[in-house]
Amino acid sequence: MKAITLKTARKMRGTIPRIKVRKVVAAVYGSSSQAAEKKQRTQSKTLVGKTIPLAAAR
Amino acid sequence: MGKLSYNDSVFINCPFDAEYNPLLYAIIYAVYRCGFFPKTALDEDDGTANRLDKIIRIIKSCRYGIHDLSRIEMNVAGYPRFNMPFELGVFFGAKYLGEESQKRKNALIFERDKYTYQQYISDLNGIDTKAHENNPAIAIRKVRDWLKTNSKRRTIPGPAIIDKEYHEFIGKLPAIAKGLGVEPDNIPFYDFRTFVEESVREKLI
Repeated sequence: MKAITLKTARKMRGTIPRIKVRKVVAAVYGSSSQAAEKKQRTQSKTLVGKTIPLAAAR
Repeated sequence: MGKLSYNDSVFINCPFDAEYNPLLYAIIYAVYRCGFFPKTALDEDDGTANRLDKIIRIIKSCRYGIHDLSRIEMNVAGYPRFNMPFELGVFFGAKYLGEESQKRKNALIFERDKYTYQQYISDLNGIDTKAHENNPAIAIRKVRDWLKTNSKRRTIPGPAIIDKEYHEFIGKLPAIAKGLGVEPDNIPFYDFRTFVEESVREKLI
């Protein structure tokens, strides 16, 4: 008999994978550590991007 | 999530119907936010398992139990709902007749109005029940105070913090449900628990 995979079992029970819930909750709360880290990285890049032309202008 | 210990587990003996959801949601959130794990008869979905065996197994695995006797009125067919008082009786039986660890069991017994139980279960006379008055904020405070008093854990936040975070969660719940393709008015209990777990985690990281 073919074994049921975890994914199939979830589909049968109708439950949502936890990682998916985690992502949606983080997006709704808008403050997950991953999101915050990404935001910080983006801000750093933006700052660097702005600094270089200013420095070059001098 | 690691293995759940007996001391962290709370048996939830409450009605599971739409009308009771505001209280159930508040109780479940408070239990999670206090650092405990709620267990219910809905946790296992095995058609081959005997319902009573399942309930006994869950009761045995929980040190704490929240029992709500506020909804034992007649149903539409004219019969009272005896599941909650019956499961409270099993919980009492485990505490007084069970092995050593079972004797540490502790129960929070809810009613709508205090001491009305004396009119339908006089055997409980002398038991200190708590009234939630159908108010989720009161239920949160009673659950929090009871867990704090009995576990003595310093990590349990004050009732105002839990209440504030709960309201924030309830405000975001429709968006969470919609984001996962679940109807906000019809969230399966298993999914609701996962939403609470992840929302509490989100607040704590």
